[in-house]
Amino acid sequence: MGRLAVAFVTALAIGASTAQARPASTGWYAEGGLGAVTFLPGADADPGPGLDMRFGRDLFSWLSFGVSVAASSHEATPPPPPVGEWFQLYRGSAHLRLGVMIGRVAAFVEGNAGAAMISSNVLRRQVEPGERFSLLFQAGGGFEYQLENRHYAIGLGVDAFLLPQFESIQALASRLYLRYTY
Amino acid sequence: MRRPLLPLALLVVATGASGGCMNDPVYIPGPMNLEAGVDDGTGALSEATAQLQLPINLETEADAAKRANRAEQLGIAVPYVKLGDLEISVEWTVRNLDLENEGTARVQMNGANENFAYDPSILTLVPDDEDIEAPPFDGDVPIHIPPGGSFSGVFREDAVREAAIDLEQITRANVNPFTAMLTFSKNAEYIQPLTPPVAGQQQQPVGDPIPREAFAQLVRIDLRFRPDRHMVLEYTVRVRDVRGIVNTMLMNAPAEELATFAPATYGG
Repeated sequence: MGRLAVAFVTALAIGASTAQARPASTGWYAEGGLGAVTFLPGADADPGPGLDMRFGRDLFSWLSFGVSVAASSHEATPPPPPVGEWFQLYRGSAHLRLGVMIGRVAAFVEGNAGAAMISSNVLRRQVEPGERFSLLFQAGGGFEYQLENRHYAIGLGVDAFLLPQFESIQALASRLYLRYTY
Repeated sequence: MRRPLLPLALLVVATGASGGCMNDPVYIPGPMNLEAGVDDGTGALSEATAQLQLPINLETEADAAKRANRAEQLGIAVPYVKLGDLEISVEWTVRNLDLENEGTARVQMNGANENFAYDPSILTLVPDDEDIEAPPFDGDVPIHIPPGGSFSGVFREDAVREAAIDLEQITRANVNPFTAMLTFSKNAEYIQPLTPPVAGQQQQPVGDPIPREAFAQLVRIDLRFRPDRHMVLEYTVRVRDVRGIVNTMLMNAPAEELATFAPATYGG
């Protein structure tokens, strides 16, 4: 029985050391994500597909910064007319991310500040003529899973953002992403 | 060392996404709704009309010089706002305000370019029968709308382009409005001017053809609304500003920044 216990403990120790041999990379990284952007009540627009790309650097294992660009496409739902018209929302920002890693899973919170551009004035109750740009404030968080290859991770993130110049439109941007760290 | 392709792919996608910003539409809501279909005081049902002049910037000196140069080369007048400079469509919604009875409405689209306007309501093309109305550029189809219901439609970009060419045919080439409206001309490369119409005589080609690059685009959209019950029409003009001549402030633009057009009404 005693031998069996020693063997079991030894096996656990070997397993643990094997996990430590595959740490996540830190340094410069790039992320590409696909997801959806859903406006909160107050905007005359349906949810739409979104694309999100990020580049940055890990300063420490728990702190990173970078820039992100995102685009989403939506069907406008203002009082008709018009009917069935679509618009695109482009967002660019700088972000800061705080995270903690437990085993292969990391949890993080992040904050962004930047600018957004809308492709048309179809949301006439939110976007004045001649107005195409707004400041952007964004905050959110998510989870990340480290793959076997230490350069790659996949994750799920959800951010809320605010566009003050567009009658303070608010929306949730969710994304599934793949992250490559050099 | 193997270079990962992911960052490069993301950069390519980002570049493509930013290219999608070009040629985006702007929406110009009608300044007021058209309400009609009630007794106009003479026992007849009221009609409503609207004219929306597009907010087009003043022509720059460089553009004017370029246009004059091109006109000299072609030997024909070239308009400031040409076909292809703007792609216009008109989206509209009719609401039946009668909550008990179905009604029928007609929505007619006409308009003007910078030189000529077309208003079928003032034309008498068949002197022997004044009941035959001159044709509109588009629309005038009876639409049945249930009590309290609504119906949305659109005069599409290709219909407005066709209308612009029809107007050129009618005003610069002496083509009969019925002929112009009933022929499919939106892809026409030129218009052959004809001799003025004279009763009992065949019109003959005269002068050089007008090339497509000298066709004018509409700069004013006219709507005529004729319901048989109390209804309201709301509309929005959608413009894709291909050449970048529409003022970004749209209807809020200062008047001194906008071009003023004084088109002559055909047949008026």
